[in-house]
This record gives sequence, C-alpha cells and structure tokens, in this order.
Amino acid sequence: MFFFRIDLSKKNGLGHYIRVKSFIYHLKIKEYKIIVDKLIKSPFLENEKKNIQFLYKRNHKFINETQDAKNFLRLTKCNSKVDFVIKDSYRFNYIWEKTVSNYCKKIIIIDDFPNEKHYADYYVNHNPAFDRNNNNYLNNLRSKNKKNCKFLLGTNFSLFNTNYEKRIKITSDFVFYNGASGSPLVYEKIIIKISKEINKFNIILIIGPLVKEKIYKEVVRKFKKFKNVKIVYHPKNILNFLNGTKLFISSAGISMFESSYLRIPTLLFKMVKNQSLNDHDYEKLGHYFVLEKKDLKYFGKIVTLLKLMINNRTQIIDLMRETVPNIKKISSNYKRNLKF
Amino acid sequence: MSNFITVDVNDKSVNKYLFYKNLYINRKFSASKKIIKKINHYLWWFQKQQLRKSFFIFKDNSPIFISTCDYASFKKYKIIYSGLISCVPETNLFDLLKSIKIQNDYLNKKKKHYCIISIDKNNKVLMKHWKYFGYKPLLPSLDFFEFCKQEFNIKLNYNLYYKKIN
Repeated sequence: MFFFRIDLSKKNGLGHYIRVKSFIYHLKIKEYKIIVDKLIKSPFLENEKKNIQFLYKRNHKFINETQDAKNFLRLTKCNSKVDFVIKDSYRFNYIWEKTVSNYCKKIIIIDDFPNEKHYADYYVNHNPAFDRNNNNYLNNLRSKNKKNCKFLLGTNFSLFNTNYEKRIKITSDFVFYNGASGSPLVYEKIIIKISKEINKFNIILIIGPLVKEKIYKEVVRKFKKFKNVKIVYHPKNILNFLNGTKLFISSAGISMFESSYLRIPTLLFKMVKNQSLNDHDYEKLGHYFVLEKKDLKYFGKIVTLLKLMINNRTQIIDLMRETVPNIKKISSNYKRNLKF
Repeated sequence: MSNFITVDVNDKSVNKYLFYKNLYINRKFSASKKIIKKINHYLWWFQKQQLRKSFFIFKDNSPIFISTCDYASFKKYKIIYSGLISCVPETNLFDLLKSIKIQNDYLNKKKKHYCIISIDKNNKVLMKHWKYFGYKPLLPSLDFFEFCKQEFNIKLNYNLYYKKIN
C-alpha cells in the first residue's frame, strides 16, 4: 500500500497533489491513500474522494512535524500495512521522515528546495536546474540526505498532469491562469486593456480550483461588460483550455510543464518563491519569456508584448521543439529507478 | 593559438543577449547607463532585433562579443550601423581588435554600403584605433549625418565614423 502525505490547501495550491497524481500515473499504482490536513471541497478532487483521508478534525490543525508524523502513523496503521510513504510537503522534513521511516519500507520525498535536510530513500526534484549535471548540486544533496539515498533529478522525472480528453479543444486567443489558488485579478488591468484595444480577441480567464467563491464573484462583476472574456470557474482540468489557445499567460508553477508538454507559447510570471528559477532553467522547458510579478504593473507594455507574441507564435513554438517533456521517457525513468 | 568562430544570434539567445547587454562594461559606453528591464528587452526583441543582423564571436568555445548590424536606407545611401556587445565583464585589447577585424570581414562583403560606427568620446582605446580599420569621421556636412543621428539615436557624447565598402 502507498501512502502519500501532501500539502493541499488554498494557501498551498494544487501543485503537490498534481505531482503525486502524476507519480501514481507513471508507476501505475492501483492502491493508495492521499493524506491531507483537512478535506477541501473542489470539483478537481471529486473523483478522488475515496482515496483522500484527512489528518486533522475541524478544531485541530498542524502543530509540528513530530506530532504530524505520529498522527500520520496512527492513521496509516488503521488502514493496512504501510509499504511506501511518499511525502510532498514544504512543512516537514528530516524529523518527520526519520520518524515515519521506522514504520515503512521506503520513504520517497518529492521536493523543490535542495538545501533542506532529509531522511529519504528516494529523493525526487524535477527542477530543470538539475539537468546541468552539476556535481556541486549533487554533492550538496548527498550531504543533506540519508546514505544510499537515490536521487531522481531534473526534467527526466517531471511530475505534472498529462491526462486530458484529446478530442476536446476549447479555442481562444489568450488563456490567463494564476495557478490553482492564486487570484486571477492580478491580470485585471492587462485583460481590460487588451479587450478595450482589440475586442476581437477571445480571452479565457481561468479561476483555479482552489480560488474562493468570493473572488470568483468579484471577477464576474469586473468583467461582465466584456463579452470577449470568458470566465471559467474551477475547471476539472486546464489542459483542454491550454490545448486550444494561441497564447498562455500563467504563473510559473506546475502549469509551465503542462504548456511545455502541449507546446503552447507561454508568458510566465514568477509569482512565488519556489518559482525563482533562472532563465536558463526555464529555457530547458522551452519557456524563453519569463517576467517577475512586479512587472505586472507595466500592463500597457505587457499588452504590446502579448500582441507581439501572438503574431510571432510560430517561431515561439519552434523554440519549444527540442524541449517538450517526453512522457514515455519519464514513465520509463520512474519504472526503471523505483522498483517496488 | 586561439580559435575564433562566429554563430548567428537566434531567438534562443533572447535572455543571454539581455544579460550581456546589461554587463557594466557595455552600459558604461552605451547611450543609456541603466539596467535594461526584461519587459523592455522582450518588446525590443520582437520589434527591432528581428531587423538586426547579429552574431556571436566565440573564442575557444566561449562567447566574447556580439557583433550587431542595423540596416537602413536614406536617399541613395544604403547604411549599416554596426556595434559590438561584450559577453565578458572585462575584455582585453587583443580580443577586441580581433573581434573588430571579424566584424569588418563581415562588413566588407556588403558592397555599396556605408558602414557607420559610433564611439563614446571617453572610450580611449577605440578613439585611438578607428582609423586603423579604414573609418573616417562622419561630419555634419555629409548628406546622411543627420539621418544617422536620428535613426540610430546617437547622443552628444558620441562621435560617428564611416567607411564606404566598394
């Protein structure tokens, strides 16, 4: 039995969940449980209800990693034998892993921050920076991990959603997305300006699966005058929207892997700390146009840039040709390295 | 003996190009001393860079300069405004002169063109060497002087030089 312990909340977004689902997909895992702090309502998780368990009741919450590890073990022991634990969380590291590892065969860590200390049998980090085969990176990881830990690093181990209905293609000129829980209103001025300038553009604004209803209502109110702006609320899957658009504008989260996979010209914004890769690393995924969150204030210039990108999208697609993640290769990499 | 080669700049160079343009050595002798913002660079890339002919000059597999050529026409004159962007924080005179020679070899193939360069008056090295590459001062009396100043946005602290390729 596989147990996944992940962060899944409005604050943490859907990234960890999408990664473990991708992990499950690549290894064709049939029996598993995903343990989260508390159950959250989202259509995105509807089909997953039977596999999700929550650790804390209404009046309780996460205190520290030792307590969390104990709670986790108490819950997993009720279920069945714990074979493998896969952890994808920023909140607990070495102490949690050491405690849990005494009660499972192997512990696998999916991580973004290579400077944290871990106690893992397998360490997964799909940051493109690891594609450089830099010995300093590897030595740093080795020094912070259990002896004999196996490292699965770089884009050859990318974890992101690849499942979508290929027949369904929702066409548009622009799709705006600020991650599963980010407010789409960060793009408000850009969308209004582009709609006022050229109303022939067909714009889709996706409201992520964990965005509060209050924000959705505000978005609807602000864009009701704009007939060319379609608001999509809590979609189950964003890939059908990406697949049919000419240009994707997004935060530089997991969705950048998805747009790379579909070869959709993309303008990325680094919205949070774990999206601070350098240009060279974004380029490994075919993303050559990456701005900072603070650049959103230059909305006039961004509108001009979007129009230029849409006019030059064929050459942008060409840039992505050599960098599309190869799903078969990723699956085989996981199968080859993780033998259960 | 060092090995010099040239490689065309393409869209994959967009971010590297900005990195090099923002090196202090390049800003020191450019019209604007400020760090160029990415958003401005991307706009320029789609609007102007595509009209420009640029190539990297590699020395022993590492880029040392980008040679740039902007093309323009004025009356009967076909004009090329060329420049060099350093890819290293500190360059040496040998590499600079070798890169100018490589750039000149490229320019010398452009028959019937007028090649223009601008040199910051404070750039003592280049102010001493322009004449060795066949350039002459571009004086206000010349027909295309004003056009070049406007077209290539030449500031007061720069001197213009030209040569005709026959």
